[in-house]
Amino acid sequence: MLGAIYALTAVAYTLVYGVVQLVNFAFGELFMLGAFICISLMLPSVLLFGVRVTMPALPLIMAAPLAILFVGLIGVLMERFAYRPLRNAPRLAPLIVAIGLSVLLQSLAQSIWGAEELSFPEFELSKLPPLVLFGSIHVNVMEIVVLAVAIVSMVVLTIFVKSTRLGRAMRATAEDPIAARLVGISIDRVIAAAFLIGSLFAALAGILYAQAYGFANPTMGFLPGFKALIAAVLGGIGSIPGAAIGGMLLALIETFGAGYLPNGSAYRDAFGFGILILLLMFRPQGLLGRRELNEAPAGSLVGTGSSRQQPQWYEDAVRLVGSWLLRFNPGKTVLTLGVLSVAVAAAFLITSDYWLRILIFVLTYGLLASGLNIVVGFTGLLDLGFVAFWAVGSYLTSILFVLVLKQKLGIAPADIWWLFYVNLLLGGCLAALLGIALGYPTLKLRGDYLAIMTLGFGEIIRITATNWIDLTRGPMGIRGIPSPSLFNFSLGQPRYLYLVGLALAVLIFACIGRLVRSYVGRAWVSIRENESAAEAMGVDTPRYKLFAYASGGFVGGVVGVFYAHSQQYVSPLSFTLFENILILMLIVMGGLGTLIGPFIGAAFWIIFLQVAQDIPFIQSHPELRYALLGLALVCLMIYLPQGVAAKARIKLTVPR
Amino acid sequence: MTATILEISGLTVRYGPVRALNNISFRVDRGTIVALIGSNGAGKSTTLKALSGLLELEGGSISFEGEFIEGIAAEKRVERGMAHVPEGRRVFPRMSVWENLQLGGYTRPESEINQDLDHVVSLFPVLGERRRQYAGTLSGGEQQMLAIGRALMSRPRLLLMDEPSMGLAPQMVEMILEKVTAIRDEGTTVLLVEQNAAGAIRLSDYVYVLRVGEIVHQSKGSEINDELLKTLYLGHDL
Ligand SMILES: Nc1ncnc2c1ncn2[C@@H]1O[C@H](COP(=O)(O)OP(=O)(O)O)[C@@H](O)[C@H]1O
Ligand SMILES: [Mg+2]
Repeated sequence: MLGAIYALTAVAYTLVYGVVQLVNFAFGELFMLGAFICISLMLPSVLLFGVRVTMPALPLIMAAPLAILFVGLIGVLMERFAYRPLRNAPRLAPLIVAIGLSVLLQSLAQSIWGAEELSFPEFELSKLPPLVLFGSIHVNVMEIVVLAVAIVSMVVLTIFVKSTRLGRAMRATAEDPIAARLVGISIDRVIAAAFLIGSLFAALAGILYAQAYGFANPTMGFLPGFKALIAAVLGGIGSIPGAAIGGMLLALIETFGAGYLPNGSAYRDAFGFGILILLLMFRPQGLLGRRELNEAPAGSLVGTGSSRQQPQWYEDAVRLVGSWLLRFNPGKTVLTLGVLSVAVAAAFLITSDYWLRILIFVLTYGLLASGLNIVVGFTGLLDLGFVAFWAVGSYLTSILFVLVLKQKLGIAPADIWWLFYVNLLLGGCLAALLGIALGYPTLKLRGDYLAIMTLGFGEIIRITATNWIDLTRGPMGIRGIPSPSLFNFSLGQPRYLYLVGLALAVLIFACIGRLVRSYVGRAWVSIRENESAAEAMGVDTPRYKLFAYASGGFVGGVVGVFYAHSQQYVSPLSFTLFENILILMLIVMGGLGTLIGPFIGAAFWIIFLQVAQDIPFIQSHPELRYALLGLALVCLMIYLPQGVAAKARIKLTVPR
Repeated sequence: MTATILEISGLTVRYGPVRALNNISFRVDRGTIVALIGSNGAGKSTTLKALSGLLELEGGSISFEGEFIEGIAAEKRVERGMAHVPEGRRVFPRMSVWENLQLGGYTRPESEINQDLDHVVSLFPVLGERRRQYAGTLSGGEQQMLAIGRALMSRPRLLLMDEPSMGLAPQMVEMILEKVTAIRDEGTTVLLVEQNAAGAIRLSDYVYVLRVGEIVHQSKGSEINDELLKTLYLGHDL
């Protein structure tokens, strides 16, 4: 039955991908919205924004179609306002928008319905006793209904695509959009139709899922949505029968894996990702599929300027902000020193521990973003698994200090204070090695596959951290990590922690600065701008890509060690995909491929979080801040793809 | 019915900083074949793309059957009776010949599609024989016929053809050019773009010569001889 649900959602991905070559990550959220809206319509009353609202209490038969249509409408609006403006933009832009939309919808759902789960009301069919087949097999009536609904809707869709006018127009658009326009097909309408149908399928799957498990919650869409994407890739994205087969296959593998492998059920969710990685390594076109997903996205966000014509006032404003930011150009020694002395002075002038802690956060996130920026901003590889490096650094030092030294060997952390500094390097190196190991299988991949694959890696690391209890203590996390100290002098106070962080930041900033100005940086940028051309020009692209992963990983590992000691606590909750998206967002906000951008982005965000806490409405709905984050990500991509620090970008490319 | 079906004036198109068409003007009379010739990169395809709405204009106007159509989307221009056979044919490779033709009639009422299919098959019998075959598996000449047939399915009054003879064997070129004449004789006006000038000049009623984005010559086809053509192509001033 899970297979049927995966298959339905996979159809959504496949259909939209087939027509516009876009992986709309937000289908997972439409899946969730379908369930929420349907349940809300079935209840006599629900709490919306904490206010009790009377609802029609419709039967499922009526609530489900209404909810599905409503979600379809959301899908169409999404296409119209978020994706259409980016249709001719480089591939990275709609991908980032898709991620932003996911965050937006998920946080909105959380604000509206609350973080608690909503249980699925009982309805006639669910109350029927199980059927007994052949005297021994017990089957739930609803399971049969789910399967039947899935099969019927897929058959209908197949017929629709094969033999109706609109279906034919969809296939024509998928094959050659220009020729499609020349025969009189309105591409806009066809794409909107693909989004509509995809959203209908996602919502249908969400409702079926919610009734099967009896609940809906705001994060329920993530895993099934992602697995459906895996299923779509498994079957060959773009192919409807492929989606069906992929969904069934994935569900089968999960069930058998969970049942037959030792400790399999704990790692159940990791199987899908593992399969995905194997598949992408050996047969990226999927079992029945085509190849395009792996094409190089030529042209980068940062090189080609904004993707559309902007009004004059807007360009002026950007220029103004840009020229102001230019003064922070690290090349100008005096100014660098100026900024640095302000930063150092801050340590002594700010007396509130609270604000110092906030500054530490800014530094931590700024550094993480700088690490990811090497991969995404300079080299142009969308990496959604970056948090893994951060996690590795954090866990390395925590395990060594707490679990091994303190608890097994009984050594007091104060006696080996120097290990912290060793660990900074060690953590960095381990993460860099991991970066190479993770980067290696992705070398042949480009474009969207790369994003999907790195996402899989990140999730595997997180799932491992959660479930390998002997090593990581699982979800409880590790407590009691000592603060850094220098000889007998503890650096645990926020002021000193801040200074340590600042020192790290300066070091890393300088290293990245050197690196991107050297031939390595030029190689990275050439990969970002046009990988095939770079290859043709004799740039050893695999080597530099690995180097980018390693450098990014190194930074992530170092920051991880610092983070563990400054927080004195680590748990898998810190290393979620959401954090990864947040870090990505910081870079996009500050400016992809700039040195200072990540720090500006981090400062903006963290100060915003603090300021927002004082707004009453946000106090009662803290998730709204994340909805704003998603919205900002989408708007930035559409209106300001170069970020606010765009003018501080190092000129490694010839202006066009 | 006026004699002029298409009138272009001051057409200017640029790709980023590069100006591909510089203020060109010309006219096409109803029921004629007009050839637009010029060497590689002269701007012929750009002209056709601007006419069919695939490119935005920087300036100038396009009047089709007495109405200005610059602001109209490409797909709407098909409805208005203008069809474009693009450079490189661009048939839908993973769809059957029949589906390609049906898509050509996308803007037409369903009820008339069968009649139009019969008409196209009578012009290109081979398309009828190959109706179930994937378009991508046809030979170059067959694909060209399919591309023309697909365009005819929309019942255009003006057919824009971009280098239909490109890459074809001489016999096939001859056959395609004959069909172009046949299409004109049925009453469809043709604007024919060719790099290979000889054939185009022979069958057309009027000829424009394009060179780096400007029209450098216009006359009846019979007035152009080899000597003149050479000078026009190579770009020596007259
Ligand atoms: N998409 C494009 N981007 C930039 N320049 C282009 C593009 N298409 C054509 N050009 C340029 O415009 C000019 C005219 O091209 P085109 O109309 O295709 O010529 P023709 O069809 O006569 O061979 C050429 O110099 C060509 O390089
Ligand atoms: Mg051409």
